[in-house]
Amino acid sequence: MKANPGGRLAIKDIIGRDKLVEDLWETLSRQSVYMTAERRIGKTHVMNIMCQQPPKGWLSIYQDLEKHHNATDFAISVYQEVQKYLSTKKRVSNQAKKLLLALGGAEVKGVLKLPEKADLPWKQIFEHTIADIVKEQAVEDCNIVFLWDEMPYMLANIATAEGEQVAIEVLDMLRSLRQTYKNFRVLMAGSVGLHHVIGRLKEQGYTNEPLNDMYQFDITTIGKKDAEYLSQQLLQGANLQASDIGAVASMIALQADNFPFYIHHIVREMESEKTQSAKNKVTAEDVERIVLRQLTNENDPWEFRHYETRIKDYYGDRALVVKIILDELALKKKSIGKRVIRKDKTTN
Amino acid sequence: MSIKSTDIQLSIFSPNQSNPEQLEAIFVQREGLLNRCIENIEASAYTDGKHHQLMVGPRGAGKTHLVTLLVHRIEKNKKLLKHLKIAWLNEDETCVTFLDLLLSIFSALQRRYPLEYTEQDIADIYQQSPEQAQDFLASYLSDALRKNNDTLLIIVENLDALFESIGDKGQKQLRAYLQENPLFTLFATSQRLTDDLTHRHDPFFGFFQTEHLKALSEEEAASLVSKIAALSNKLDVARFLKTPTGKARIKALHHLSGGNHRMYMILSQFISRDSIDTLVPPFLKMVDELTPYYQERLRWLPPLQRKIVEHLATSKTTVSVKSIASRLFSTNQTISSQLKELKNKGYVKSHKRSRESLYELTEPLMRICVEVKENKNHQPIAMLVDFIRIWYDRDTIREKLNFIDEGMQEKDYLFSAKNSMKAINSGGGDANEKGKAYLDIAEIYCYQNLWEDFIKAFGLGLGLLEASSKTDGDYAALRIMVDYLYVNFSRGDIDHNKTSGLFDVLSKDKKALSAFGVDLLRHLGWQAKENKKKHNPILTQWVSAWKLAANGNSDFAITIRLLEVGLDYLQSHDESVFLELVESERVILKNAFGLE
Ligand SMILES: Nc1ncnc2c1ncn2[C@@H]1O[C@H](COP(=O)(O)OP(=O)(O)OP(=O)(O)O)[C@@H](O)[C@H]1O
Ligand SMILES: [Mg+2]
Repeated sequence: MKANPGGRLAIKDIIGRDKLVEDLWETLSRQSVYMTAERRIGKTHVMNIMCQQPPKGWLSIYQDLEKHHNATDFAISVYQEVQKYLSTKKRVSNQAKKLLLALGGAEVKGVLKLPEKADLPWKQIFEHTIADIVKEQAVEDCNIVFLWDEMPYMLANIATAEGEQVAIEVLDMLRSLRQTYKNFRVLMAGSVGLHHVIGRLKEQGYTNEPLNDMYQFDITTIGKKDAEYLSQQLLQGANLQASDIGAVASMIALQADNFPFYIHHIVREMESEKTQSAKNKVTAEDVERIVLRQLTNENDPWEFRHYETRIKDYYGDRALVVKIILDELALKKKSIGKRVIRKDKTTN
Repeated sequence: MSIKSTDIQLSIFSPNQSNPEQLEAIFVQREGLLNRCIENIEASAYTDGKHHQLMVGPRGAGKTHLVTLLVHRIEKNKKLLKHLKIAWLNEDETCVTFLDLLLSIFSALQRRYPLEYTEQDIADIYQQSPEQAQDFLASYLSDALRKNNDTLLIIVENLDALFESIGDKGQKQLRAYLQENPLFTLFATSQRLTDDLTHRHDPFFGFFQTEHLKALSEEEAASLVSKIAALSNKLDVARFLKTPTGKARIKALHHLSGGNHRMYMILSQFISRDSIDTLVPPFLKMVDELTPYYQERLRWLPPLQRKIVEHLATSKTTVSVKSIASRLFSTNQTISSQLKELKNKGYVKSHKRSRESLYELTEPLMRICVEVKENKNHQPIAMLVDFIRIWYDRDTIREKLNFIDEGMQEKDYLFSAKNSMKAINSGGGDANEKGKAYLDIAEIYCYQNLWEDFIKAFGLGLGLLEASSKTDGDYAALRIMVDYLYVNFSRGDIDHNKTSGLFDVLSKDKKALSAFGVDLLRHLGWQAKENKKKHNPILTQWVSAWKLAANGNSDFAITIRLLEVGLDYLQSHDESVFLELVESERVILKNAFGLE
């Protein structure tokens, strides 16, 4: 397995999420879920597993919603995605399609040309679309879950483009759909916290609790064993040798605080160092040295730059003191990777 | 601009238009990196994993060269091409929206695969609304790739500019597209890491595997220059590079270019000229060419940030927040936060010295460009070049000195002295020849510790030589003298009074004065290297005397600065004193002091 910090992993290379995925399905059988987690922890990859390997009796559809700026876009994209999963018969004729045709859309060579109206009844389109797929799935006794990534980005986009009110309506509509259909579930995630956005809506006088029927799932790092296994796999993928590969792997896991994204980063850095020197064996000390170097590097290659701004949010008045302590730590030749990364976890 | 010779044509500003085989031939330093990049692309083509790679480096750091070779090598890999398509986006196409970007990807595909991707395929979109056109193109591209089981390598140069112009909206659309359709592997370059890539709240935070491209080391540079020479069949140059002077030139070049690849390409053409002075005009030409680019970059900055950059460019040393604040009539807090932004944008860097941070511009070239614009007369660069030249020709002189110590006999001195006298007395000869003869004689006096005679002959010689015909060699006597002085200083047996006349001579000849200053500096360096804790008061006196003679002449500003910081260091043995100097000067001094 090759180190790939930030990129897309093949399903078999996503390590240490089996139990989590199992728990998520288990919870989904009862209610919808929203995931909270900090950036780069692996939310999207968890969704990738769930999209590609749903258990029996589940249909799962993944969508990244950050591209949408208004509720109509959202509704239409869900409509289009759903069409792919309807039976042929249903695809030819369904409630949502009928509505769109009635609104002035046209079908050309099996492709629906959307009506060119400024304000389409997005709520209706949405509700019909969900009804179409949910009902068809129910016949087979099948549940459907929408894996909606980057929901908060979309809500913020909508609030900005169409006003907070519309964003609120989207949330309320989704909530009521969840209550209407027994076999309809949503799994939401986002790289900025959903509560940030809802907080903003509440400032506008929004009093509903649009998430109170959903289960909140906090995604954290992977387990220590898995982190060590991942490190070892990546070391092998990079052709890095060690007299005690287990020790090197567990040092990587320790330094990265079991955060897979940073594990990928550390190994990639080790690999890049290897190509520059003739040395072909690595040690646990190399890991410590590399982590320290990255943390104190001016270029901030692992993008830790946010610590400075973060600190203010979390420590308020004491920010200055905290900063001085961190500066001191950064100067000391000790491994602080762990501590720094842990601090970061308070993000969401 | 290009390097021309009978059979080679290397385009310096657009390597992508050069013959890739020639780019291969001069490729240095990054073989390992390139291999890893290609392995990642292979992994993206053969498996479900997709890598996104970003190369960050300033202008001229060899980004396009790397990209061109990457594509060239992939094109030769038939097996890989079975699963990989390439869309190398045209740098000049402006993309303001995600739709523009999709179109740009499409036209890149069309250029490379005209039979598979035709204008007809997408003809419909021009009747559609932008949203519909975008949806159509997006699914058209992903469907086409899925059908053939292909992965698309998208090459984007100047990703920072693209992200800026498509904005937050376009970036989110792009990321959503990539996450919903894992069919792409991005290979991008950027001059810097922008907030779009490093801010936790922005979509592309932590998305790319980022490689900060390193500047060339001296050895890598030497290898680059000799590869260029070999490629253009300049055997004499290749040979020249192996000589001590050749090596000294590389050092000087290294200094001027700051390890920047493009600058080597430009300057390497002049490496074998008789004098390094010939480097100045091409160097200035390049500065001229780059100046609009830097001006453009400055224009985009908010006014206060622009003022800070200009201030840093014109100040001779690194600068503290406090001093910027007072110069710009602003507060420490304001300046500090502006500096932080400038740092994030890649304009400035800082070093901590005890409690305070000292700031300087990141790109030495930017500094030079601003300086040139302000000074019109190009003096500062000429000075820097001058300085470097004098500095790096050292070794040759030392060699000569050793040779003399070991082998030359009294009678040899006398023999050459006689010859020189003959030349002088023969009357008719031109002033230049006579001048040179006097300098030879001065050299001989010097070996014999005849200081007063030395000074006299030296003065006569310099006086006779025409300014324009003076070369480095003419100052050899002076340097040798300083070396002797140094040895005798340490013994403490030099009569300061006897040598004071020297400054009368030196103050009449700028180059000599400059050479002497550099020599003093070199001796400070030797003292540091030999780890003489006790600093030599006589040397300090000489430095003061020299400074007096230089008398605030701005041409000697660099030397004066280096001498002062050098003395500071000898007294304190605290390396942080160097931080006062801007990087290019810091390097010279540290080198002199054997600290690098
Ligand atoms: N379980 C895992 N095993 C191995 N590597 C992982 C795992 N999860 C995540 N990664 C690594 O972390 C990176 C980020 O994962 P992912 O995109 O899923 O994070 P995210 O939480 O969705 O991020 P964002 O908040 O930016 O949307 C991946 O590119 C991969 O390098
Ligand atoms: Mg994600």
